[in-house]
Amino acid sequence: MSALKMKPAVPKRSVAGRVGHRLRDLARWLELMRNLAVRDVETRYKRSLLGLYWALINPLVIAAIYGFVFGVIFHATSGSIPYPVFLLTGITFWNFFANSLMSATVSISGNAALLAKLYFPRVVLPTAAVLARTIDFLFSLVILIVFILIYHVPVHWTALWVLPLLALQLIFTFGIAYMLAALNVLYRDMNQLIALLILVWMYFAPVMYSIVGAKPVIQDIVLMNPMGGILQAERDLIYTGYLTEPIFLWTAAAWAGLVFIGGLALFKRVEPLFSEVM
Amino acid sequence: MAHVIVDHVWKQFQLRHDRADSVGNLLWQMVPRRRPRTEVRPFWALRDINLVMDQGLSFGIIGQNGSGKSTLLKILSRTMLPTRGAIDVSGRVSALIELGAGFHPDFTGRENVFLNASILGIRRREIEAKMEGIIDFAEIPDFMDTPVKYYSSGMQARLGFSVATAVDPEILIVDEVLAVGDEAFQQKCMDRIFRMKREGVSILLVSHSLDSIERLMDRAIWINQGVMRAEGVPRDVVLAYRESLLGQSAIDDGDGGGKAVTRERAPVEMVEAGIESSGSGHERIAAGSRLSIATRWNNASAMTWTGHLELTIRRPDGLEILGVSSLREGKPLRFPPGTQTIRLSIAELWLGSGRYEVDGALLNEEGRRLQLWQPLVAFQIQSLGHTAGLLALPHTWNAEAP
Repeated sequence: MSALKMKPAVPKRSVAGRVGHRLRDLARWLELMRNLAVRDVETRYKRSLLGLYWALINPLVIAAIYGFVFGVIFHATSGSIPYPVFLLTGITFWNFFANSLMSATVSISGNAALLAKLYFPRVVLPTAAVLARTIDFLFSLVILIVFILIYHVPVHWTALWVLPLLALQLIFTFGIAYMLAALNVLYRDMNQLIALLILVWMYFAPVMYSIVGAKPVIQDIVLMNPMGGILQAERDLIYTGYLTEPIFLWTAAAWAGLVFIGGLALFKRVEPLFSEVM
Repeated sequence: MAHVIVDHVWKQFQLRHDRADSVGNLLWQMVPRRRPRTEVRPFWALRDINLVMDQGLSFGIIGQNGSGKSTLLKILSRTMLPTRGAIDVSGRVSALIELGAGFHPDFTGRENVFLNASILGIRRREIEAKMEGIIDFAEIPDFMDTPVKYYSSGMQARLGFSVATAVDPEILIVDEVLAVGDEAFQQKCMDRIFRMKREGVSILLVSHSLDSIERLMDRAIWINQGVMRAEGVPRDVVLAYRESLLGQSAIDDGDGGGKAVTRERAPVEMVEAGIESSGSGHERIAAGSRLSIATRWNNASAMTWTGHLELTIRRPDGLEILGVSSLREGKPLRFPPGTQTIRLSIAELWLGSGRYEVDGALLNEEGRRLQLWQPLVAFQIQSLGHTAGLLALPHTWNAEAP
């Protein structure tokens, strides 16, 4: 380094001052996150012909196709629940996960203009993307309830336990979302890769089929998959009132914790490169 | 208290041309190498930059393109991290880097205003109260509900500037806003920047408009190839910068490569310069008298050389009062072998009392600046009337019954 002409030292703030500062910042970023998520949902549907109905039509069409293929042609069994309701339940919860990942993947790379010019913690973007899909999910839940009413499916009171499970699913989703958002900045075809991965992943989760009656090895493989364990438990809690395999919830929880911490760490590590690579 | 401290900041970019930018490439690179890897070529965009900017102080940053000015601003607006060193910025920062503020292309103008405000931590109610003013300043009321992606670059710049300055920043970082937008809007922007400066906002301005840096900023920094070449009073820094540009094209002020510029030397030499006036004395001239700026030149070669002369009358604080350029007027000056005198005559110079300086520049036929004199000569005006202000124009009072 060259000889010092002057020595500007970065001043240290007091601990209390720093904490207050941090809290004010946090409130600001939460507000920003909410704004981004709400506007994401708004712009996605406001300027399209059918408006918010897309959030509802999408799972319906998917359910209709799979329902026809698996229910009518292959005669998939779904225990006591009518197959259409069984399928729609799986698709509603799965789509929440899959759509969140798809949105989060492009959340950083698609906002280059914002990133280059404004400072805010970059993690706000994938988080907001997942939150936006959470809003979509709440709308599609309405469709599911309508179907449950049409088919007169009895819903167990344990359905309330789905909330903590959703939290678990969300934590897992965030972890993967951070990972993908960061990697997609470095490798632009992450997008295509993840679309393929999600397709394969869906067949490894009990979205369209029931694992009851399958070989124990197959059951284990499907339930070791965190999304498999979570989906199975969510459906169990809503319709049967007991968990088929409670042990696999621990697996899912461990996965969720690990992936969340790992995803966030990866994101933080790649974050300084964002402004340079884009 | 708002301040900016830049503490030994270095910034390195890795210029690696073989970085995998897709998973496909990444897998391909894992195949055992057939060729040796290309070298990682580090590029230092900034080297050891130090800066202390106290509350209310304005800094102008000048330098050629690619010298690291924007990188420094990006580090200050915290969109980029320094490789070494640290910065400390306290106070609300509003930054306008390149054109437009950070806009989300799918959001409407109005939504983007809210988005920017929420990033800067301003409540929705506060910004709603200001919306009227923001729209007024940007002059695009009909487009506020159109997504920003349909805006022209001028419209984006207008809204960007309007938002960035309306959010009551304590520190305003502005990078080349004046490059887009029509002249009237540029003037409006400069007026607003100046008004904010008077109100105590610290301003960090990157501009190729050296005159406005000289006129409006308290201090100036000249960055060249990542190194801080000069820091100080704008006039001195701008002069040093201008001198370094001699021989390069004067028209696109600073777009040259900057490295291997072969300096073109003026084939003529100025022997002396002076003021001739019809008013009393040489140094103290009565307002309204005739004034000539005379320069004597010697052409040592055997050929007539054609070039241009620019003369600028300024107040000592840098305010440009009159700029005359034979280039702009399309009247090239001929310098035949031997000596000759070139005179710029002003019939009546109605300036207020005070000291004035004349800057001179010699340009070749294509408009390259070859030599600068800053100042060339100075003179003193004594106004005999009782007027105040910059000019001492002749005037009469008149009262008439209706």
